[in-house]
Amino acid sequence: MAEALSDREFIRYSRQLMLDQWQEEGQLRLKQAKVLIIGCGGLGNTAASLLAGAGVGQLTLMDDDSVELSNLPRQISYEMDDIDNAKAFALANRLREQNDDIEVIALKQRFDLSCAKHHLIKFDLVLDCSDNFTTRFLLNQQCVAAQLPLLSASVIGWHGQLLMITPKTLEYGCYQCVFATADDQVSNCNNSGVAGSAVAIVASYQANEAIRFLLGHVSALSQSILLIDTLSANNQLLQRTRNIDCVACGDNRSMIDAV
Amino acid sequence: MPSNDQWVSVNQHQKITIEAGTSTLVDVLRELEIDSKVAVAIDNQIVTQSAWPDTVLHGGEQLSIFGAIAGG
Repeated sequence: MAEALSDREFIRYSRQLMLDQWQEEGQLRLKQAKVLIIGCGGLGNTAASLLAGAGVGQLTLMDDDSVELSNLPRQISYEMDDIDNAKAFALANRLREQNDDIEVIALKQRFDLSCAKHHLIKFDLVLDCSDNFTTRFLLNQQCVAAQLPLLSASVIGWHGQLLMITPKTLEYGCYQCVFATADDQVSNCNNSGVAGSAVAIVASYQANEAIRFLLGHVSALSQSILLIDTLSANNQLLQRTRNIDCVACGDNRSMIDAV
Repeated sequence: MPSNDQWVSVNQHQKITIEAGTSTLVDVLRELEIDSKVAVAIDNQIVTQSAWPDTVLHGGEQLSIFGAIAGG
C-alpha cells in the first residue's frame, strides 16, 4: 500500500474518509490506482471529474476529437475558449486545476489496435466513454485479452447502459456476449440527440461504480447490465450470461488474443 | 382440443401471442419484425443470441428487448 496521506489530503478527502466503505485504506487504494478513460465527451467529462475529485492517483485521457460549440451543453468541463482545442488536453487542464494531488495524462488519439498494444497495460480499470460501436467492440475485445477490468457506459436520448467486465467475473460474459452486433447508424448522439442531464446521471453511475471497484467492493454490474431510463426513473438490472461462442471472450477467442 | 395460445409481455407495454411450448425467441422477434441487432432478456436474465433458436417460451414470461447504444 502507498505511503500515508498528507495533511492536505486528509482535509481534502475528509468527508469521504468518514464513510465506512471508504476510510483511509480506501483513499490510499484510490491514490495508487491508474485509470484509463477512453473518450472525453459527455460521459468522460463528468466521470473523469468525479474520479479526479475523489483522488484517483493517475488518470489517462484518450480522445482524438476537438471541442465544438454543440458539445458544451453536456461536456461541462469545457468553456467557449476551449472550442477547437483538443478535448483530451482541455479536460486534462481542467482536472489538474481541480486536483493537483493527482497525475493526469492526456493522449490526443483515437483508440485503435496499435495504441491498444501500447496503452492497455498497467491500468487498474478502463472506462469506456466512447461514442461509436467500432471503439466499443474493439475496447471490449482488447480488455478481455489483456485481462483488464472494463466499465462500459453509453447514453443516448434519455437512456443509458452500464456494465462491468472483469477477468474474475468472465463467467458472466463480456460486452459482446450481450450485444453480438450493433449498428453505428442507428444510435449515436449526432443522429438521435441526447439530454445533458441524462449524460451526467449515467456518468455519475459509472464513476460511482468505478470508485466502488477501486475501493475493493464487489459490483453487481460485474454480472449484469444496468439499463437506465431517466424518463421513467425505472432502471432495470439484467443478469448476464457468457456466450461460449463469443468472438471476444468465448472458447475460440485465440484469434483475438493473438492480435 | 384446448388452445396452446399464451401471452408474453414485451418491454412491459406490449403483449405477443405465442404457442406455448413451441414458440421460440426467434419466432417472437420475427413477429415483432426486429432484426438480430438487439439483446433479449427473459424475466431479467439475458439470453445470448446463439441460444435464441432453442429458447422455447411457455407463456407469462416478461421479455426485455433492447439495442446497444453507442453515445458517450
